[in-house]
Amino acid sequence: MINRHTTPAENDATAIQLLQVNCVSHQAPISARVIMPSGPVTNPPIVAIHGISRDSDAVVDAFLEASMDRRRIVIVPHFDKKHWPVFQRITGRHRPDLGLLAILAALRQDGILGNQAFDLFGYSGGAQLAHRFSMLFPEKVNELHLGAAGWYTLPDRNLPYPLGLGKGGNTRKSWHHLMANGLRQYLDRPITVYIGDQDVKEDRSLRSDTLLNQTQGRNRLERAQRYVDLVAQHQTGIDLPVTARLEVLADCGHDFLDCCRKGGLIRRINWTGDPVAQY
Amino acid sequence: MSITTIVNDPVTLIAKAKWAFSTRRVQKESVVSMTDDFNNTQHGDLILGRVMEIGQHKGIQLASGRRSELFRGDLVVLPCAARYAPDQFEGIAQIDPAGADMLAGGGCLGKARARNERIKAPTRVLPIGKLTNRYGKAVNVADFALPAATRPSKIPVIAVFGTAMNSGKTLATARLGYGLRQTGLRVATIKATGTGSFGDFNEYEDTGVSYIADFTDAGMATTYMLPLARIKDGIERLLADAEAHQCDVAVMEVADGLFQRETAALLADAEFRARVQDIVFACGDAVAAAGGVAELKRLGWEPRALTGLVSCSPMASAEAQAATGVRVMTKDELADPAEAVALMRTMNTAAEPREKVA
Repeated sequence: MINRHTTPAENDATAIQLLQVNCVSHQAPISARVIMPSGPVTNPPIVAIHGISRDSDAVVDAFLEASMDRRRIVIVPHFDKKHWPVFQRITGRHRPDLGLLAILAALRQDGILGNQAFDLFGYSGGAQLAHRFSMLFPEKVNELHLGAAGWYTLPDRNLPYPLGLGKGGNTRKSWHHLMANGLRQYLDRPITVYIGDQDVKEDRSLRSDTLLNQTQGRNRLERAQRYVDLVAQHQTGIDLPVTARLEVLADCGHDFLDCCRKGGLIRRINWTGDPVAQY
Repeated sequence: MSITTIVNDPVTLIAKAKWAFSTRRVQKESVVSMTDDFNNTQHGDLILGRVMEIGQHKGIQLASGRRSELFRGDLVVLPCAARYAPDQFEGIAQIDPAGADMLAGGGCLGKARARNERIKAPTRVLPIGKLTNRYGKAVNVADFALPAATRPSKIPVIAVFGTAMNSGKTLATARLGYGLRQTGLRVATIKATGTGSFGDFNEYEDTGVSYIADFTDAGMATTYMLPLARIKDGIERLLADAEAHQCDVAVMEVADGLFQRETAALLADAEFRARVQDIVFACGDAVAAAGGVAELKRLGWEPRALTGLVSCSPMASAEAQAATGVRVMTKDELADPAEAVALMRTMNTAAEPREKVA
């Protein structure tokens, strides 16, 4: 079901429609807001996923202006805590990937989207989901923008899933196989990681264990740097252009609003967005 | 005053008749008359008849997609056709004016040659006439087929084969179509061969895929005993139509078991082999899996996955996988978009990109 919350004034090029989408995935109901610039839109849409605080309002606010200026549709899912206790990871029990697909299917059904691939942005926990979704469905995603993920599923078959793409112990499904299956396609796209230069706190919300710390580092800054290096190394290893890029946001910690205001996070996204990988 | 009594007026009769699913593409206005000469009745010719005796088929699948109970005396329109169904009848496309056999509920009238001992004798139909058009020619379901393809289709095809009827092919086709559909692909689900029936068709349709068709859309009431060239032409018509509907991928069910006449011919055909990117094989148990995979390999096919009834049992799945080295996928796995798209990603040909901005 889609509700239109605002109606643009006729001929107002600066007007925005904010649509509420309520749909149902295999796991649970899920909702999203869709920022629709008035008039014709260009470029692929962007899906922007909130972090562990689930503050999708903040994500909507952060993307409003850019959506209007660049005439891009922005889709902001909301993974509520009741139905989606875990949305960062894809496991047998938790399928946030199906939630995203359900939102896109509803938007296609209503004629708001076509079948084109989209750019995918995620912040913190949302960045975790963003890169894992892209590994499962690389053909659906053009550019990938990862803001300050706590940790990553590395393109490394020697590490057990979900740390890497080796056989993991605690899931019935072969996620490592499915992600390894599309690894080349995953690596064949621009992947930009954004991280505050002060995002080095080892707080309770940051997962920490011996193997993770050894392989990825102790804090988000270190993990972002190592992830970009590793992705670039893998891209080189299979003769793909190196498109992994690190954007360090000056004077920023882990706060999303700070990263937007002080670090210019949303402005730094490549809003020209030429599609690079599609079905 | 002159009184004209019209007996067996075809226009009146066909309006009252129950038209079978396999006649669903026929434009009734094209029927202007009928003949009671049943000699040389061809596969696909439409026969108007009255139900004489209720046997195995107590109902008829209507062209509208609904099942209708049959009663003695009911008028029915069924195409003359042959049928292959080891769990029901084997029959040929031949009309006995004294009484013909209803060989399938979806619409297939002919002469039964063999019957599974666990089922009843066929429902009997008294042929009234072979329907004819304004040129006096028999009206045949082929007259209403999709047009022939003007160029070879390119849509990627995943074919679903099985050990026999009821091995799980239709469910596998539907679920794989559903899995792919969830990723945003425009999916065609197609039944390439078999006996016209709305069961499979409706099962495909329920998944919400973009395109559904079967061989009846290509002008064949059934495909049993038809020449291979005609069946391949029918498949190409369906794939071309799916492509015209902008589908990205086709999941295509091939009926019955590997040893069935037409299925075996397709598997052995080099052109068909070149047209299909991957196959999924549905089977009932590990022994069937081993035998089926061996036969497929003998013919040069390597199934991507096993599925069907075998996948319901973890033990049977493990045995099948150990015996064949081929992964067993459950219906839920086929319906999972992550699994379905991974299966498609490694096909020989990837789907063409399509741009569409709303």
